[in-house]
Amino acid sequence: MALTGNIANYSPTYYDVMMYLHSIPISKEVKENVGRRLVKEVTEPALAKAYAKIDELSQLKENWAGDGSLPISQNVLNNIKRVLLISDDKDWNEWMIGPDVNATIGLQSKTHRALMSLGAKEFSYFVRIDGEKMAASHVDFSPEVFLETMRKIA
Amino acid sequence: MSAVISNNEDVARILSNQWISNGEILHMAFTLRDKETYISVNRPAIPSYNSDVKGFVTSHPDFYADQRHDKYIRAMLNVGEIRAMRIDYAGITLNVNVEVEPRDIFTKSHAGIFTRHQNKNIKNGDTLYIKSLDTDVSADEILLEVRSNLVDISTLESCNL
Repeated sequence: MALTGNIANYSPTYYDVMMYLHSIPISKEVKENVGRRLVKEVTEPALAKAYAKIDELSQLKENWAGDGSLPISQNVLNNIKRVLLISDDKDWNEWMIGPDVNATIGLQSKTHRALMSLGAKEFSYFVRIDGEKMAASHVDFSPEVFLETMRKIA
Repeated sequence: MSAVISNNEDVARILSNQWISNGEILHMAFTLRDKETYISVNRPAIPSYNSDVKGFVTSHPDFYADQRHDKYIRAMLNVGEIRAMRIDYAGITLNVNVEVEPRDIFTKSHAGIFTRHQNKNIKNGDTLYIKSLDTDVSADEILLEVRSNLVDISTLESCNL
């Protein structure tokens, strides 16, 4: 079966994924990098937990919190996955992840008064440390800028 | 005219399980929906509170606190502490007030937490003009700060339905 398009309701087996990978021309180097990265994502605890949480959030249905609350948008899910893909385990030790009613995702620091909100094209954050405040909204999203902001806050 | 809520009263924000992590309340529990001008809360001091909450939780499974479906989780906030919130920007205290008012058209115990600038309700996407600084501030930043403050003054409780 071809693993293309929206597979939100499809749970591919090991065989499906391997057959897909073998159906496209991938160099030995790329295969090795993919293999290493996948092992990292399932064995490093904070990273694995973050991925599991995102998978859980992707299952939320319309009206999950009542009053017309929206499921997380596919663009937002793709954005957070792009951040996960370039991040390390230690980047996620600090952060709790949860859904927001406006189809976005929120992060909250475990140790600082800091919160972030990730949308389809922009993100925002608020931090208060030692009485000093730092905040921004409508920041253009890129995985690199978002991850850099997470690291700065943490 | 709706009655004024006393500063001594506490209000409850009923929480989805998705808004709790590591035993903490996440800021998303206090998000304004698009075009919404207040955060819905309920008043335990009103006699219909228990039946109002039960009616809501039983129709939203994500709000059950456990598998037996006999508990829910709430964030308790003191009205006086909510009203005492002050929002600063660039060293200036903005004329932003956080107010709690009854909204009993839905259920008798229902109320709203409003964020206002110069007596106008703030919602997502608004822009506030700060005259003393001759600059615009995004309401989204203000509302993020309000969320952070509400989390700080909340107490998490598990209750029987």
